[in-house]
Amino acid sequence: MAGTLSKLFFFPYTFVLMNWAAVAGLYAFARGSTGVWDPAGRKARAPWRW
Amino acid sequence: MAQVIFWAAFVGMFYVYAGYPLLLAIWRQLAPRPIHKRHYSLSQGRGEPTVSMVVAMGNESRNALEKMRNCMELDYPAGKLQIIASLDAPTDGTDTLVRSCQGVEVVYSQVRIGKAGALNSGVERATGEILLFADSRQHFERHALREIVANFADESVGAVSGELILLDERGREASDGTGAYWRYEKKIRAMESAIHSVPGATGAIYAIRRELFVALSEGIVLDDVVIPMRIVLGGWRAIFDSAARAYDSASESPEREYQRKTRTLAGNYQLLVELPELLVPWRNPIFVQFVSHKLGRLLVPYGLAAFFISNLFLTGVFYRTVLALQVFWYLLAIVGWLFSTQQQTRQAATANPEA
Repeated sequence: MAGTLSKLFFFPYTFVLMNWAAVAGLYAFARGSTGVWDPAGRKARAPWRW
Repeated sequence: MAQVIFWAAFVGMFYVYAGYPLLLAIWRQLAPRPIHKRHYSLSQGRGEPTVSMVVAMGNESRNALEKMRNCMELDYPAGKLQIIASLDAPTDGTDTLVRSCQGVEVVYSQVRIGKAGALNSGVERATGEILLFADSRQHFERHALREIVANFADESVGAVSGELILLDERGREASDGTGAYWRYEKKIRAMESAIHSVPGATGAIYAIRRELFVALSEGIVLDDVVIPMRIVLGGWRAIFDSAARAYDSASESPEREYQRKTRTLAGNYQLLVELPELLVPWRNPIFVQFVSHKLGRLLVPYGLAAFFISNLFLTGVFYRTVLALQVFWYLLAIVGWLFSTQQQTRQAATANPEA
């Protein structure tokens, strides 16, 4: 019963949130903040050591 | 005018979520393109192709050791599997952990260059005929590599995506919220694969032919879409194989999934800048799939807004009923949001009782 009830609320919430993510994604892209784990670290080329 | 917008938005959104899967189901029946998968074994000719597995890592001390162990336990001849951990200037001791694993080649960057840079560097070191890419968090099934490689026996295949299975806290495939969405997504990918190619792989587990790799541009977010799509543009197929499995836990909360989704959707916009030919029907062999699957999802939120706003201006029993249903839907979403916030506050209090 509790599971069904939580699905009833969480499904619309997840759906709205995921769609909002598309808008937020466009904003993030426009601002250039799309780095995978640290956007600040994408600038310099690395000196590699093996 | 409001009526036109209302119906255009409805038809557009219906197509993205229901019409397109239906189209794929029919397409697959009418024009299937089976994949001639063949499992290699040492008794057959030259046996398995050599594979270089590239795992890019930032700060991954929580997962690094487990991941390396998992890689080494894969069912594949040790002499034919090169494991490369490409480290992007970790600061949490990931490098020490990875270096303690015998049989793992470490590529180390002293300054942060992002995942794309780490992948490029890892591939520079790779010697295998097949490149296998993986993230550090997910766990491969023991036979996953053998399954994925078997697809390359088909000469039209340039890239293969495995299946990521999201598990709930009980260790079963997640069926709530994001889990349900992911299952729906995989069904679409399976159908796309059956007719030609998927417009993107699963970052947790995908492989390509070595010669088809083109270095990623700096800052690329969706390597798992850019790499396969470039291969598709080159005339090869990028397929989905549900027999090559990796496992992950479903995001603990919709908010975490939201953060992940924001990043990947931002990556989709970046993809259009990186590969604009994807929007040219005669250049992109899976133009319909790309527009329906990738672009359609980007447009749905604006469709939802248009659907709601146009509905406000329409009268009559039908339109008023639809409006009431829409309002009810968004009220449910608000209650879901309140529940989620409450749940997280409770979890935080349990994790830190003195706070």
